[in-house]
Amino acid sequence: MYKDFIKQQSLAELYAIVSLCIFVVFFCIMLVIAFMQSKTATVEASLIPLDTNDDYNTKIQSSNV
Amino acid sequence: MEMKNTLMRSSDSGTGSGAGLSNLGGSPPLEKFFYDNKIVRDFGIASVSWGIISLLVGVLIAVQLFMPEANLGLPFTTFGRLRALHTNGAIFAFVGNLMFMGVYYSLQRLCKTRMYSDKLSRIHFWGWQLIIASAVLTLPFGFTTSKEYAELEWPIDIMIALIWVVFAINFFGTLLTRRTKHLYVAIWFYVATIVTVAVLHIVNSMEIPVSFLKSYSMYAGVQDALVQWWYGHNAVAFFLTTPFLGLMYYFLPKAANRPVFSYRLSIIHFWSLIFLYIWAGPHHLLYTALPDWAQSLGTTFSIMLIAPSWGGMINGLLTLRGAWDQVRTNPVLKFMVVSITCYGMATFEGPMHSLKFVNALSHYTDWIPAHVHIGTLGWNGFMSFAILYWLIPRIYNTKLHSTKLANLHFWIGTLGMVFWTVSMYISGIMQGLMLQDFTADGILKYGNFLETTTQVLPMYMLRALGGLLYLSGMVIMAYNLFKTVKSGVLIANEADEAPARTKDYSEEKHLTGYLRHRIIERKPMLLLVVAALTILIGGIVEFIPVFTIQSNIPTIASVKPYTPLELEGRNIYMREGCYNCHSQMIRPFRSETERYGEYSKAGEFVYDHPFLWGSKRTGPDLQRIGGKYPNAWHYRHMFNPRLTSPGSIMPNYKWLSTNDLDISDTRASITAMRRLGVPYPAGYEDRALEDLKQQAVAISDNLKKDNIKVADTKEIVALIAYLQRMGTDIKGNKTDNK
Repeated sequence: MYKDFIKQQSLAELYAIVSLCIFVVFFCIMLVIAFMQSKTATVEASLIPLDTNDDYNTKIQSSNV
Repeated sequence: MEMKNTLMRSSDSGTGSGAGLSNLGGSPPLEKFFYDNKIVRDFGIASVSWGIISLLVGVLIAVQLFMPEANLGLPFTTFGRLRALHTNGAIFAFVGNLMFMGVYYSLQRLCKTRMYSDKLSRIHFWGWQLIIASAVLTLPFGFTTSKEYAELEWPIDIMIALIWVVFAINFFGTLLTRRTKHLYVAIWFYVATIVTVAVLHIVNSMEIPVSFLKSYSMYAGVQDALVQWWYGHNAVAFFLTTPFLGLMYYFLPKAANRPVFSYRLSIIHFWSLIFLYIWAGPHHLLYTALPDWAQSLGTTFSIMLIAPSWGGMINGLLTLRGAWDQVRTNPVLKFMVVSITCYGMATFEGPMHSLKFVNALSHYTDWIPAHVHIGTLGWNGFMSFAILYWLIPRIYNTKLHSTKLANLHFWIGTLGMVFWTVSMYISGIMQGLMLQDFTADGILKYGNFLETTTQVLPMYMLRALGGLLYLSGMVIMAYNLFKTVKSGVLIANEADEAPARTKDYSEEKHLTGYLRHRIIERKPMLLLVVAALTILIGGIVEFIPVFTIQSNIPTIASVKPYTPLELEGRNIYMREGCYNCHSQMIRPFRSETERYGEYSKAGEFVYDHPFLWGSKRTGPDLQRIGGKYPNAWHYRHMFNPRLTSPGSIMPNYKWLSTNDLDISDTRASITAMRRLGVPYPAGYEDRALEDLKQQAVAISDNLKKDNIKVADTKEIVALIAYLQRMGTDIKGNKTDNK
């Protein structure tokens, strides 16, 4: 059955629709997961790169970079 | 001496001021440790050095496209051989080293630990440089697999795999010994890069060695093309895009001193991007002999890729909210803004090229290199420059030597990029339109391919100028960074402090819904497995039917294996990189069948290890060149293309008339091909050289009739044999669908 399905070239369009459906489902799942995250958690996570003991900025005040 | 990851517990030593403070109130004791900045510095130097060399090669071959004699008459400085050196150098040497620099810098800080092993870091660094040096020593001399961006031969492929494993062990070792609980989004992108590049490299490099520096792809024709462009597309995705998105998520907030705009968006961005990208490879093969359903998948997933790609771009640009005033004065942010904008442009343009009606015009033209260079020069190049300008002064504890020079670099680089890409957009669209143009009488308006080439030569000159400007900017940057380095001292081991990681997550339980994605974010091996599964789905769905179902590649009874001489000629075709400028794939358009002949069928390529369809037509398609011209025409054309085609920009291949054909591997080639399924009779390798000699003598004798005296032992004879064979198998035959 699987081979017969592939053999029909007219099903090329079906592949496009199926792939669109796969993406929409995947995208919706990711949306749900992302918005299930608490605000506090995401804010905390987004601050990670800035949580540093790097004192370069205070040392090199005169630098524009 | 290897620096220990944890040198001392500062609370125990009594010398760490931070420890004392943190212990007031019952906080866990701080551990003092040191980041390895030396490895960061080394990768940075390698990136800048190889970058200048790679772009210099790029400028040289750009000049050859309007001045072919700029190859100096030497085989190893000719476009066909150097193009692979330029692309491999730009991708794996310039961008690759920069990626490692950024990963080693950010990973240590995001994990609050030193790299897992200094020794592995050094092996990784020197091993990678050895791989690049091997490319320099092989590609110009014609040792190539001919698969784009994967041209390096099998011993180097093995070395790449081993060094990548070293990098992976060091990377995951660092993750497992980290002090932080949470893996920041940048690290997810690094994980996806490591696992996917490993899969891509191993699958696409499956080849059978014939000799020390010669191999044949294990796949043939359509299957080889599908694997190659699955690799080629995803090399762009997972070597040039995902690691740089990871770098963007770390260095952009650092440079702007602002957190990323939306962490939620970054979750959607990451998973959608790695899930979708892997499916889109077949968009490189639209209207080819690849089955229609695979082309449909490639197109649809490519269009949907706009969503996560632009999600990433928007997340990047909006991170600068409230900091746009800094962009006026801060060259780091200037480079980053243009870089992210170029990412947005390229990721919009790519899906548009995947629309079949656009692809029909754009494919094989200069529009494609224009698109690619928006990505490499703009996205990768400018992000690299931004990170270098930000990072080098920090690890040398000094300030940038000259902001003015950095600004000059920004403007000269931008101008170079504009010259490069705009000229190629114009050239590509002109080529596409001219090649499809018919007169009112239904005859091709530009029947001679060369008529279209000569009209775009001014654009090729502008491209070379653009490349030269961009390269000049890099030289200015190298000087600026050199002076910066001279004004400071490398902090080889940079101190930091952090408490040890605990596995107590009880304090997080009050966060509603917190644990769902958070579980993956703090378990690196789980993240590795889920990312691997996500990227494998698309490849498996596309590969299995093409490899297992015969109806996808209808066999053609009249298609026979190459003769030994033709096989040697094909090796020369690959060695000289002819596929860089000539396709072997006629699309089913009237404009192409009128110009070149019958369109290409999947069954014609079943013995082609590797496939040689090409991806760009600087010259005409060669699929039906066989029998179109006499042997003497080919001899004169290869000796000096302008003898037969006035105005041609193809280089002279005079050395083919003087070089003796190397037949030492002919027997091994036949044996290797039989192992790959090519139906040479048993024991044919013993007769192969006799047949080769016989066919060579016939061609040599034929050339004598046109007063061309060339020995039958010369390389040109083998190449003529191959060219005369191409596309002749199916003349007057029909497809056998059994």
